Amino acid sequence: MARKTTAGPATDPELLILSSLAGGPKHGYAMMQEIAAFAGVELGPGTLYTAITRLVEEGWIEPAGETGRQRPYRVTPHGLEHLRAQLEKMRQLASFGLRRLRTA
Amino acid sequence: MNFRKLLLNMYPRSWRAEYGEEFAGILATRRLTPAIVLDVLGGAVRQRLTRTEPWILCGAALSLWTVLLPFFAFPTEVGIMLFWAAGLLLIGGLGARTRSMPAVLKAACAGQLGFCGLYLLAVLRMGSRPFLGHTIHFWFAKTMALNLAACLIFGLAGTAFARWKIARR
Repeated sequence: MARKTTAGPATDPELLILSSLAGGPKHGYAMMQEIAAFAGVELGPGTLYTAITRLVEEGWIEPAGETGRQRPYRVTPHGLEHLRAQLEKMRQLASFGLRRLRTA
Repeated sequence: MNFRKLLLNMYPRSWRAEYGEEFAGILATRRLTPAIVLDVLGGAVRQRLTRTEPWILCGAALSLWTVLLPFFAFPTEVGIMLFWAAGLLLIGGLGARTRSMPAVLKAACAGQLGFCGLYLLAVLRMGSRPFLGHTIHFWFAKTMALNLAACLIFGLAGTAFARWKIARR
């Protein structure tokens, strides 16, 4: 469950994690902190690790170290491609909505 | 065992081997509010659902479905039909999800095992007394055969549909 604080429409945990990792490898706690800061979404531990597990299984992120309390993850080239495609779709939607608003 | 450890143990063993240590680290930093506990339990359910063989889940769900039949669907015929139809959708969904015919077959067989409990209850209650002109053994065999056939048809239809959708991509 992603707890929304001042979140806008972008609350998909996987997208948020990919966006966070696009800035460099991070461990789970650092991701949570950064996501809360840039998106205003507080991801619960269950939601965070469900998304991390899926992202690893999809090959979009990978562990950047040995198993441990603070294992960092990094985004793969395939993950960056996926993130770019998703953000592009969001940009198109935003442009469309804004165009419509101007003519409304 | 403390509560955090208990929460962690709700996750499947294979998942804990991979992520358990870091997840425990995150849990240790959070105050366990009801929202966090629900979030963690939700994650555990999702991991159990994705890491368990789909046919085991579906077989268990079908068995439970069958055992619950007398409580929800009896005594109306429409109730029984609706209940049965929903069970068939369940097996169709399994076919679409796994795209594996052997998995559908296993789930259908597991579902039939659940039906055996009802049969035993009926035998204990009615013995060999005739019911609508036949013994309970006849009705059991007939229903089981129909159920199995319907499960296979729906399951395989789901499988075929999922494969067709993939081929169209």
